[in-house]
Amino acid sequence: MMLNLLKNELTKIVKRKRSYISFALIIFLIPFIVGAIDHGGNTLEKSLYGQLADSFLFVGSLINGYLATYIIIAILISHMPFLSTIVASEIVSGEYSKSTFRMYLTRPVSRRKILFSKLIIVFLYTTILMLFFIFYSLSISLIWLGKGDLAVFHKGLLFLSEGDVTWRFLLAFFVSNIVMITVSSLCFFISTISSNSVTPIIITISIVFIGTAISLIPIDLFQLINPYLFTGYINIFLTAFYDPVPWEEISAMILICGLWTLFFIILSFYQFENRDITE
Amino acid sequence: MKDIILDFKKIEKKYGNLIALDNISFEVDKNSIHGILGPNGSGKSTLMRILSGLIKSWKGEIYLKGNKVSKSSNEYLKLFGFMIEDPSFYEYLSAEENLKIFCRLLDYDLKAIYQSLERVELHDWAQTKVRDFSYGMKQRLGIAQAILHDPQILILDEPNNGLDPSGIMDMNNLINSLQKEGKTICISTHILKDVELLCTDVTVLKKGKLVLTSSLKDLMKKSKLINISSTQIESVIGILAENPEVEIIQDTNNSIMLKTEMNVLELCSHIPKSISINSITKDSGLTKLFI
Repeated sequence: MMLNLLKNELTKIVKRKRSYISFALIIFLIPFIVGAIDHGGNTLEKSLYGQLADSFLFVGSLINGYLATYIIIAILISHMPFLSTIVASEIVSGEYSKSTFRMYLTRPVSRRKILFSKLIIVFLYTTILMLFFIFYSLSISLIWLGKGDLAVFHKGLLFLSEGDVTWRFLLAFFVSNIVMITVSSLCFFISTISSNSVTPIIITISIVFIGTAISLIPIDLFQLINPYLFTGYINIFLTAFYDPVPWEEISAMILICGLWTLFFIILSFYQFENRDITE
Repeated sequence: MKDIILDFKKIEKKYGNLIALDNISFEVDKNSIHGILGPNGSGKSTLMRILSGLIKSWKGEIYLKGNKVSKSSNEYLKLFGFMIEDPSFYEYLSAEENLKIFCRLLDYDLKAIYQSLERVELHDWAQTKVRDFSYGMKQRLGIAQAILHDPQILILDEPNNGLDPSGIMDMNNLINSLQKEGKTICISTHILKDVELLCTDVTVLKKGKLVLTSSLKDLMKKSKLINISSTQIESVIGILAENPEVEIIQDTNNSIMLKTEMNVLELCSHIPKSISINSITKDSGLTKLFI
């Protein structure tokens, strides 16, 4: 039965144009940014070298596909919650608002199973989107700008050799995906409450925005609670490019995001299983 | 002896302070067409939503073939086909794709899709997106999804809503043929004519309260109301008004409703043959209950 439910949810997602908005945006935006990096490479290099250029002689260019991907992720990661919640916001609330639950839920299938199938699709969509975002960026950047060592800022300018980079992008995908799945879970939960598809996105993005603001404001109370908020980990991908990789910080992020995700999922199931469908 | 398939006992539902259903009890006979009649807001749809599991918090008990329906399990829904209010489909999918979704929910053979589409005469539109369907076609597709798994009981909420006269006739024929196949059908409606034409039994709800539950035959037997339609209605009134056994209740254009202990034939004998009469029919009395 679960397989049938998943097929149903897949059909609904695949046949809707809305599901492709995020992918379309990424497809068009990434080459544009890579082109811009290629075009304005000198300026970027100068800002990377900074005062180091006064003391050292640099041979060759820092601008390559890896650096471009790193920059793209850094620029766009905080906007990914917008894109990753497109499906989560609509997957339950859309069925309330279009009244399709009036037929879908009158079958001998438990609401728990139905919601679980929807949750799996939301996680799958988020994961595929993140995978596409990072590896499409990497592919376009490498094709356009070629390979080379990756220069990043961590305790000064850190050079990561070409052979040491690919697994770090995989790790960056893995850790960013965990945070995005938590964001999607929040949106999914709000989707089980709301009868329209816009409210879950607005509330989720507002929470991410407030949480990010908390992580940036240097007030003792905020600094104290920040490690316990999933929103404080939106830029966690940066840690994948530290040397050594701070595994403790990553483990803490997995635990915190995992707990938040579980919390949102429990709330979603409680809400959905007890809700009267009056729409 | 009656063969009761569905038994509602003391059903109660509140939305905040508003009582949607107040202590509703009635039975549905097997292979009957049971009309649930009531004006808008009387609680018809709420009752159907409770039965379908869409509404979770309610009081009372429902028995299906003598077995109590569990609120925690919805296995009993296998026996039902529902069309609650306007049929709402995934508009971006075709009729066939929509029915595939419901087939998968029931783990049912996909062949059933074409059988039910043929049944409602939509087989030529199987590949058409539902958003391109007219309202009447959507209603028919609603019936197709309800009968997809050949259920024993059909629950149809206002099936004739929004249909043109020929659509209503087709729908009524379909409902009649489904009953002849042995299905039990519950129809909610606010159209009296639907009940009188289609139903074998009727339950009347008003503001969440049960007004009446009876077979239509019994209702007709007990009723003392007769409708007379004539182009010479003034003459009919003139004659019948003098009869102490007749009480004229309603007088509208070219027709009257009267209350009498006489049957239709006896009443006819009191009207001279020179007066042209369009029709004399016994009235179930539902109009009065409804209003």
